[in-house]
Amino acid sequence: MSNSKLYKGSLTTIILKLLNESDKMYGYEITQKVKALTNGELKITEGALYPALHKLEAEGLLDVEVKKVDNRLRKYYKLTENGEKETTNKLNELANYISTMQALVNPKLSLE
Amino acid sequence: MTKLTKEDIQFIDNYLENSDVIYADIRMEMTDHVASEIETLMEADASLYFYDAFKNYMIKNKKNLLNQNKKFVNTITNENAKLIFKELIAFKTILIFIAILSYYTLGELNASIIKNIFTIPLFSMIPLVIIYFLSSKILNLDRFSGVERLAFLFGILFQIIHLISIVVRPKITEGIDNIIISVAFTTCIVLIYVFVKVTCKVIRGYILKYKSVV
Repeated sequence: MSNSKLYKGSLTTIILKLLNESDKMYGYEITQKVKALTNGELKITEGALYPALHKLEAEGLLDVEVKKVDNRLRKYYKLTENGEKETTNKLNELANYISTMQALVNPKLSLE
Repeated sequence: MTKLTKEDIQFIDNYLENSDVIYADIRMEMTDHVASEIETLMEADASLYFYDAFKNYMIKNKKNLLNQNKKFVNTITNENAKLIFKELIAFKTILIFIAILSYYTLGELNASIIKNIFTIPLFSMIPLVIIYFLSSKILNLDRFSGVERLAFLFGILFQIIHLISIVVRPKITEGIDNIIISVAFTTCIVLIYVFVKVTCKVIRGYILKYKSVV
């Protein structure tokens, strides 16, 4: 992932959130979706994305489906039941983190 | 939308295979990623030819891709090892261990069983080799990372059982110590049971995931 080390810790949450919003996605589609949603501000490299996807798959949070599309095989990822629960936990964690950082960086704003 | 031809896809696949991305499941995903990116580049610039787009992409991203390959192989090996550890400490496995141990400790260990303990390292590999052969050749799962990396763990199993045999062998000639031989024998059997179970589990997982394409 380029841009900043700050994003690295949130990669799993980003993946889970995107998969939670759609039925299934493949690797390249995730990178393009992130790029589009952030207007190119955040670029996930394949070197960061796929190891994260494989780790989530190994942990049983993602399920895999392979289909033949456009002359090649494509691996789709979708959330498992545990993956859906983990998405909620991760998003709550992230919201708490953002609010804590907000309180630290901009105390006035967080009190309003 | 620009789509690559079958030949273009095969070219990418061959290139990755020649770059040591040997496992079919890893290469399949990489090929799709590279092809998708090239299609996007060619769509954005109609004058761009496949070969130029591919070359430009690889100059920028090859190192990253190969790094990803290495990480995936490590993830798979760790995952297989975790499955084996989980199975080893499972309640059912402990029960099997106790049952077999009780049988050999309480019962008489006859001479043929003691003799056979030397052949365990050799025989332990037979069920695993059969399962491996069936999965790779008949079910067409050869060169799939999870299946192939099991062979690495089979090697470790062989060494462990061989070591047990080496340690136990002098005990038999010194005078039979029933409990030591029973524990060694039971450990070997339980280890084989766990490896066979995990191997079947990994293969079943691959069949389910790749049922539409193998």
